[in-house]
Amino acid sequence: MSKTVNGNFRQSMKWLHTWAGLTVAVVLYFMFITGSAGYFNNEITYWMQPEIPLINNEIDQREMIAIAEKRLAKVAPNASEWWIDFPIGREYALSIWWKDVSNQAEDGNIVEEWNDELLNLNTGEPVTVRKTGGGDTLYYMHYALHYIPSVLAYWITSLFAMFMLIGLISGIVIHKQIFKDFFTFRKGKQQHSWRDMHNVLSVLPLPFHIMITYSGLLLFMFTTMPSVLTATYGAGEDNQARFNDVVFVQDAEHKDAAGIAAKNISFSRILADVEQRWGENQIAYIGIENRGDINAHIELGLHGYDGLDDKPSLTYNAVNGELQHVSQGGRTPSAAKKFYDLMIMLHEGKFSGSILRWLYFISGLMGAGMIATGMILWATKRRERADKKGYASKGLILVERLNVGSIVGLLIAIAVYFWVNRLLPANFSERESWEINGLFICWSIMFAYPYFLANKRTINQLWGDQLTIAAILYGLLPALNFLTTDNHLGNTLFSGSWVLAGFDLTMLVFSLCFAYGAYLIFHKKGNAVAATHTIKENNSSNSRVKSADVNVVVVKTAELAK
Amino acid sequence: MMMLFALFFMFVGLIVFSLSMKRNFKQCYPQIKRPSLRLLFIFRLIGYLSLSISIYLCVLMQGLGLGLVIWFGAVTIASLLQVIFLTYRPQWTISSSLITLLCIAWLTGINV
Amino acid sequence: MLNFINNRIQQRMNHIIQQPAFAMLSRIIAAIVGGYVLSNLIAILLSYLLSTVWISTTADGVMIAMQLSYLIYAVIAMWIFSGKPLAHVWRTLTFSCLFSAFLIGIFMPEGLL
Repeated sequence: MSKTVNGNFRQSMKWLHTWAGLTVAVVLYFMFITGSAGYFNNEITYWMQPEIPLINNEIDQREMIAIAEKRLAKVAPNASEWWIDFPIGREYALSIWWKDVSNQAEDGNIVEEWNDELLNLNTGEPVTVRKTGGGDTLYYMHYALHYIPSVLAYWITSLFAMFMLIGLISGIVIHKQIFKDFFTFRKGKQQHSWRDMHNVLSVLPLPFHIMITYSGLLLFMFTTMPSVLTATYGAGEDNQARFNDVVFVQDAEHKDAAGIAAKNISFSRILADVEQRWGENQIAYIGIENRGDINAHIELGLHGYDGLDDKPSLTYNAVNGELQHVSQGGRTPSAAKKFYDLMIMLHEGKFSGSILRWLYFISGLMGAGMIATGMILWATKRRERADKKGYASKGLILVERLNVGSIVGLLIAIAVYFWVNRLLPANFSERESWEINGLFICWSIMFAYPYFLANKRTINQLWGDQLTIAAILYGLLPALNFLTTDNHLGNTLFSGSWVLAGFDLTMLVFSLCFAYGAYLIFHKKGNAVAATHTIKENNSSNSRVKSADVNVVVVKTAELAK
Repeated sequence: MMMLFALFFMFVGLIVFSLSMKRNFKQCYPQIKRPSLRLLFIFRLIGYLSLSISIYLCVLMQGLGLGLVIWFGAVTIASLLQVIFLTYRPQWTISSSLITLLCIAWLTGINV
Repeated sequence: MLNFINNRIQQRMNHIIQQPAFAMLSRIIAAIVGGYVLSNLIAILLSYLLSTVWISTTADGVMIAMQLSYLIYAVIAMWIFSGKPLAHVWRTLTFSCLFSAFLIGIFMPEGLL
């Protein structure tokens, strides 16, 4: 093996690209798929909590504040903080939060407890929603994985992101003509087609790939590269606080409670001033801190973003209603901090509207497609060689089988995640963990699947099988939604709930893509022009079938030679 | 409206840019056996020019940061479409891009 | 007798070291562990240089060095896999680690502040 490392620079980079990529491909693919889904975490959660009532388009925030305040006064009269989130932007329900502080006399400890409720806009009563992990769990898994301690997971994902970064840089080095081959895709040429597809999916979103990988590393900078900070500031929290004070400045405008009781104004008192500044119905959240104290204040956030900066917020005195503070993202940070903030903003994409969010999502899927085509390319290339030799190594067979289970299997597992959400009873107590267990159990089955059927089906048929399963599961999701909830396409399309309708429609589109892929595998095999195509999930190759033909030809030529 | 112009220039830029590559040129115009180098050079020049114009418009409309993010995201999808069309329906490349442009125009009217 | 055993051990070691799999493993460890240590040391040095020579505040120097450390890591790892002989890789790695640690020891005996 070490021989292959020697040789010229490009050769060794090629070797590095291939092997660094293959070793971590499955986990990176998992990170890309779940991370892409994470761009729609709120939307997925909305779909997974069908109890949330549909909201009609006319949003009057004054009414909502009245409803929420009434409810808060009933359930949390003594809470020290009240918060209201409005259904605006990417929030889909009116939700209230409060912090109960109870002084337990026995041991003198102060117990803080956060509670939250979703409110029905028509009745003002709370809605009980199923306790699903929703899209947030998918999003969380792309950096914290699952079943292992999160700090360990941060190290693992960072290390794999490092592999990804090296894969990207070495990929740029070995790609000879990035611009000349920018639009190149040669269809129906097995290895060449897979390589072209890999190139297209890597090069077109290259800025995205580099940004997402590098910023992903930066997100855990203080976990994975702590030595720089420690060497300069010394170990221990006290020392690092000196650094945090300089770099991560908090808004210091919020006063602590003074302990003097005072009567607070209601939220509606300040609304006139807010509407004058921002216009009507533009508030993302409103809350009051230190309730009942003379230092109580009301804070509001503006909905929507203007550029990549932080959201502006307003702080009012909750005793006399005077404006205390206007925040425009705090003080101006230094260039280094600005760059760091920018990278993290770009990674999370919180500033993006619906179109930009879709662009993020598609770019993320293209990243997953890049990894998937890389894995397939590895196998296809070696399969062609192996068929010429008439002998396939164990590694090749392993990778071929793993490819099926990891690439399509994960997509099936995510569909199962949504299915489990609908099929478990609504008040099932351990719903959150069992939804995720369902995902991983299904994924393991998909990994094992090629092994059980290895003697009966060719690799190609295995691809076809799993694509068919995926097509069925995704395609029937809207039907399942119709049977189990009221938020089905019939209602959502006509009431204009584009988020819920969009979820179902997207599932149908995915299903069509998988079905097309399965169709290509089962019905077009043996064609001289093998049909390969660019949609990511439809990755499949008919190398087995074609190579069988090649084998026959080889054997015949050998006979002729005799 | 400005954003539409930006997208328009992006599509035009990508089409012309792909035409400046010999392989893609032959895909679109198989009847022309040997495109002259000068023609390809002019195509490349126009391609770069209109892509730069579209970046400039994006940045002008959305600010430096967001403008660049939107531009890179859009150019990724646009060139992916371009690749698909060049491979499967080369004769449609130009008209399809115009149709896509119209769709995007309609969408941008709602939200960016 | 002792000499014989010594020789045997030596032979055995040589045999293991000459295995391609061992060479590969050694290179991977050099890249992942050695690269991590060296990139941290270089970043520490860089944070010192940035905050004393070029950028005014210490916190900024630390921020920049931390953000660059990943690129340094990537470059080191790629250099290790760029086809240099293994012995050369380990020699250079050890030497540069020791050298940068030495410089850090001189410049920042007990941290910057």
